[in-house]
Amino acid sequence: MSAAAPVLEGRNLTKHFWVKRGRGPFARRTAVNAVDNVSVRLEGGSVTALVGESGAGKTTVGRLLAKIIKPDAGSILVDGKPAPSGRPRSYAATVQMVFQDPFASLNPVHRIRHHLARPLQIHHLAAGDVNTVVAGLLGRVALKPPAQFAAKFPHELSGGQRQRVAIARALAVRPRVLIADEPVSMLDVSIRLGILNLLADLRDEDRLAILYVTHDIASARYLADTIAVMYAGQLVEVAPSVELTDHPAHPYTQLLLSAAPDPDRAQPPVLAGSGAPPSLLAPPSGCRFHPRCPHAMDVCKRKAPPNITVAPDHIAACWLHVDPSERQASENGAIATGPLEKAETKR
Amino acid sequence: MTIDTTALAKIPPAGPAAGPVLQRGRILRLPRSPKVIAGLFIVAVFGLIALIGRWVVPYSPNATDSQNWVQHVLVPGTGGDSGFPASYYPLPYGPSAAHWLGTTVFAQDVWSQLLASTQATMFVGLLAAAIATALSIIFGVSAGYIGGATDEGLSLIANVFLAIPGLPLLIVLADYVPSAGSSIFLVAAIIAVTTWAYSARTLRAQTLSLRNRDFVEAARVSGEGRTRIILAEILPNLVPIVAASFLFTTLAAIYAYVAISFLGLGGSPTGSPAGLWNWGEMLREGFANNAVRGGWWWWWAPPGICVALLGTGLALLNFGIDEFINPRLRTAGLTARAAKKAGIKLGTAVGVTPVASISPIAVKPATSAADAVLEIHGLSVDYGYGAEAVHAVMNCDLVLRRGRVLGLAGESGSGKTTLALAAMRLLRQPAVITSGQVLFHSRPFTGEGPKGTIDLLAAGLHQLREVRWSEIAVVLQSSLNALNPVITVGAQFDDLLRVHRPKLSALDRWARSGELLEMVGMNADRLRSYPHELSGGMRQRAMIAMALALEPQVMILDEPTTALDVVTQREILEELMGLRDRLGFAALFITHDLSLLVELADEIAVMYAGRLMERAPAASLFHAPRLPYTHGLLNCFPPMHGKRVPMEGIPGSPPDLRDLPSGCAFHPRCRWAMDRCTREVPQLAPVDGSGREVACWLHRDGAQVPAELARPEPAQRPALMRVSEQ
Amino acid sequence: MVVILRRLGVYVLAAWVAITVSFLLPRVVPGNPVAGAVARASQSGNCNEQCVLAVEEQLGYNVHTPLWDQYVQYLGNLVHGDLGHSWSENAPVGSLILSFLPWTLVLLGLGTTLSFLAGSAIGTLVAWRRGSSVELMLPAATFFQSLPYFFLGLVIVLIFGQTGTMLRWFPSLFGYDIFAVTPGPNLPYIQSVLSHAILPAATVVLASLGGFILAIRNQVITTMDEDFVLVAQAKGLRTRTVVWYAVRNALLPVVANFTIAISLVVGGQILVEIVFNYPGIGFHLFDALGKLDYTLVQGIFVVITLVVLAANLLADLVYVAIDPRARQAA
Repeated sequence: MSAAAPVLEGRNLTKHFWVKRGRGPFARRTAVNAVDNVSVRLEGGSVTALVGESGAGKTTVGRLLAKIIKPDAGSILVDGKPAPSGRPRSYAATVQMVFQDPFASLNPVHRIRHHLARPLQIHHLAAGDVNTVVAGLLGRVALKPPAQFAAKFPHELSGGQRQRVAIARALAVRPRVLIADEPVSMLDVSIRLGILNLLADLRDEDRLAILYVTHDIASARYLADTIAVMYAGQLVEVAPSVELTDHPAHPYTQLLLSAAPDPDRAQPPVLAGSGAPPSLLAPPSGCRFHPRCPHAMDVCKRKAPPNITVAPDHIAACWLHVDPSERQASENGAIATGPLEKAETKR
Repeated sequence: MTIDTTALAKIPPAGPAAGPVLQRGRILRLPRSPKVIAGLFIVAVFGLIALIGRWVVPYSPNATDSQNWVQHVLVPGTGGDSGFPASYYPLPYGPSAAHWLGTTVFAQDVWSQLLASTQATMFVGLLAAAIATALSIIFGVSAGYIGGATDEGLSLIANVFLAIPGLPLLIVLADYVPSAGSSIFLVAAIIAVTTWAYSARTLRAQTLSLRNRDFVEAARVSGEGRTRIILAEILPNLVPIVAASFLFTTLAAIYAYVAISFLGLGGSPTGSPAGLWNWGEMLREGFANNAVRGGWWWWWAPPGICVALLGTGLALLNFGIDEFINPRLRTAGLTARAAKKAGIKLGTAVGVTPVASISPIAVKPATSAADAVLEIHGLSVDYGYGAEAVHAVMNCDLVLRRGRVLGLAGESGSGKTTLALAAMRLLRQPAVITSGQVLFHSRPFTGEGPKGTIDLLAAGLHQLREVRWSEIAVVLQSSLNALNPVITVGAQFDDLLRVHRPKLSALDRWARSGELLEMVGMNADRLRSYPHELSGGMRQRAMIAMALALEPQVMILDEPTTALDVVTQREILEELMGLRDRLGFAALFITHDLSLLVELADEIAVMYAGRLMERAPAASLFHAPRLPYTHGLLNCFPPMHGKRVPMEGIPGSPPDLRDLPSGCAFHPRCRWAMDRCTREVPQLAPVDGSGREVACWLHRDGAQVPAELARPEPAQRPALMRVSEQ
Repeated sequence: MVVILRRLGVYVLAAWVAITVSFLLPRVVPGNPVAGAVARASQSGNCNEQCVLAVEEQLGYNVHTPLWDQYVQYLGNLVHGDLGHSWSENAPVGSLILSFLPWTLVLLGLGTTLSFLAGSAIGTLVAWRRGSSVELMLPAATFFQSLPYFFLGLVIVLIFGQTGTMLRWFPSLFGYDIFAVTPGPNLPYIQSVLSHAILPAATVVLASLGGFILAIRNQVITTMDEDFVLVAQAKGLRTRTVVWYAVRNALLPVVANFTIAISLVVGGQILVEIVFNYPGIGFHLFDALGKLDYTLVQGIFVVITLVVLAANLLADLVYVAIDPRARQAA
């Protein structure tokens, strides 16, 4: 990891949501603590994967970083400097996003050319011929012949082709950060790798900082340099991807890995835990994972765990990795607990 | 008047099948159905009359016909020797050559009045609709897009206007504004005020759903301004809804205008501008002058019929828009005709997929294996009829063995779900089974239920009902939609048991339902819950419990865990496989996730573009695939262990069933494709003498088999998730 | 409960808007239409000085108190059920409306209920038997829903009414035979009322039926594509149970949109009452319009609005009762 400031950093991001319950004229709204004190760093030329079950808040983190929604607390830094408030065009030119559903992320009434040309016009990037730049973008995402694709409507393309258009649109403003929210989960299995390989290309050749939000830990391992695991709105473990999948330190990561399909498995899998994620309307006390954790101790119920560096660049928020004596000490307030950050090193 | 715009308020669901509005490039394309053509024709005729009617009238609508002056009739009891002076009352003429629609009691020409009055009627209707639509777009779109307090405020105003009955308000307004009668502009404005709220509410709901669509967010992320997002991204998508609202409001405004004119509040033809008749005014004159009692139908019936005809025309056009917005409505009606044309008897039984009697492909002799429970031979399924038919499943053979798990793998559109549901005859219109044989060898676990071999494609509804669920149960992907949302889980168990186990008492049924829930790890109290009160995992468990309720011999599991998180998926699969070991049912497990299938199936069949392409024991298929597609598919799942290496996946996209490549449908994506593959369709056939079959030319006639497709067979082992082997 | 209260809030607000409109209109519109009404009142023989004063006060004519005070007094009177004084009938508007209201409510309740039930049944049948000859109902329903209520009323009078010229099967004038029977709990009166209700009720039912058929057909077709109907079929349930699954769910959006339907039926029925001289509030509204009795017009408008709002509230309660998701939120 470089010592320089990351391209994009979110510090202590927190977001509460109002969710609608009920339907029709009888809907009611309730607050949900979707993201709680999450910090992420995205470095140039590197893919960070954010992994978790649905409702873990991973998509919300992506949208917070893209400034689609405002955090209730926390800050966003570009190159180590606080990002300007609001969502000015300069920010749009730095951070771009690819959405989950390629069927919904392109406007059905506009041709592909419109989708790619608009960002160019907004940001005054096509000094010369817009069509040439559009063709270049389509070529970059391997949609050939570009002229033919530019003239099509979204419904004339397959899911994979649409997702490529969505990536081309994001690339149009020459961003430095790409936030990809489950970019392959709605695509057919046989074309997912093509999209993942395209993202890897963008990282290696264009030095993009990519946040890859996914529920599929196998694809995260394949693509990402770093994996961050989220549970119930909080980060629980961050590590280089192979390190994380080979030596998971947090019980939740272990559970996820034991549940993932793996045809190479020699023995039947033994699920390391059970149950479903908690309601965020009233999250559990202490460590949010404790009701499902096979190793839960007394302290887990009472106090949120600190972030422990269990190996170089490998951090887990779990009491299991704290010496029993220090656990006691921390209960007396000797060890600070807080958000998961790489800077915070103990041991 | 129409109240049929409920479809408008329906927000298209998110997901791959996201709103039909979003499926097409054109903003609004009306289906070319007879309904729409008739509607267009009617509206066009009235439009033409409105444009030129006033100037082509044979008589002035106000002028009395002095040559055919009104006939006078003596009032009974006057004149003569009654002692009263003779008194006469006028009688209008009936239709004649001179007066096509007869005359009024004032000897005015009804036909001329009718032609002349079309203009004002339609003008007020269109003007009011234009004002109301403009209002509703401004209100609805700004409320929906801005949201928050603005939305609350604007919605409240719309709801208040919606709750106040329109016509009474209109009457009071028109009554108090004395100049209203003299100005059709004012009348139109007042009508607009009383009719805009419904469209505003619809547009608001639609805008709200569009605002959260990814393409709007994408525009925002790319730095697009608010005004442009509304004008260029959102409004074009609202066009069908706006068009439907406009037609609906036009209709409502014409009725309102006719109604208040009938009450004498819509201005009179003697006011200004002079001679401006409308249909409501004609009806009023007729009604006020006893035309109904007199039986002078030609006077008041034509304007009423005109209102109804114009209304029908507008409503027919609106159907077209509704069908564009909600394509589910379109197949209705059209299918029957198309099927008849193609010579297919649809039958009247709903819930039974028809089997075409036309040209059945010769069915292979059924070589029933001793332990087969469900045999599918040569099954082909079309969507649509005749030339428009899409061949979703072609000539598929599949044998499910007693107590085994057969995995059916394929991507979207490969026909895997169609195949399974067709075997149960559960596909809906416009699906047709064009050929094949499905044999169910029943050996019920319980004492009840049918025994022996049943040909499901020949069975009637009654026979199918005996087999369905009690012997073959189905679990679908999305359990949220699979459970009836308005009744409790318990009631849905009860429905089932009441039909299939009529001897059980209500208490016994309840107890049995509770037992079943506990069997899948749920609390029996959950019987009292409604589906929406359960999490996705719980609903799927409840669905599985329900599937097991009658101890079926076969379970069809269609992507039962795809919508769930991995941990829940694993828990449910373990539960399911444990139950399978205990209860001994056979399972047809359908999924796109080949990596999952390898863990739990005994045998796997791979489908591509409607055909079965490879069939082999799970371990063989995983370790030694023979089909290029299977090989590619297995390389689409990144491993969880070892060194990370770049993987290729499969180039290209799955084919469109409406436009399949020639020969082997996979050849454009196949790295080993040969000349022959582009021309001839390979059939499933045994390879290397083992029990496995593959449909690929590489394994035929001494072709050079690539090393990747010639790996040695692995040692057979039971599927990982099988706790015990029978 | 909160949600029902919220809806109630909307209706209270709607009632307030309607009342305020009816208060303000005679006072603010240019051209002073009220003057004519007051003049008529004082010239018509049946309204004495006191009566004229009451009319002036109700309409804000010749009254020299500030508008706000008039408004407060108007609202205060309303709370006590005082809707002003009708000069044409020389009676309190409140008691007049009370005597008209039963006719309207019975006709409305009967008509809407019958129409909704028949529409649901036919709409479901048409949706379920897609492609069969039942679908011929659709063009017929479209045409019928396009007929204005009062025009259909005229046609029915012509064909079946005793004041028409064709079959003369049923009475088609007034609420009962005003010459032959005496109002009261006696058999001839009840028989007369019933026979006089046949044609107006048939008109309301026929005119609103088409709309219900089409709305429910569309909803049932949409619902039939849902997975739970497929599952119900896979469960081997009886066809009628499967149909019930679909219909139960298809009714939800129809009930949710009942506001617009009830508003249309009420509007239509006003005109039907006029055609049949049926003594409900619609007919008397027409009567009052003709006589320029603005006090009565005002009062009837307020009462119709309240009736419609009450019907809306009822529809909301029904919705809550049939949709468990709404019930939970409510």
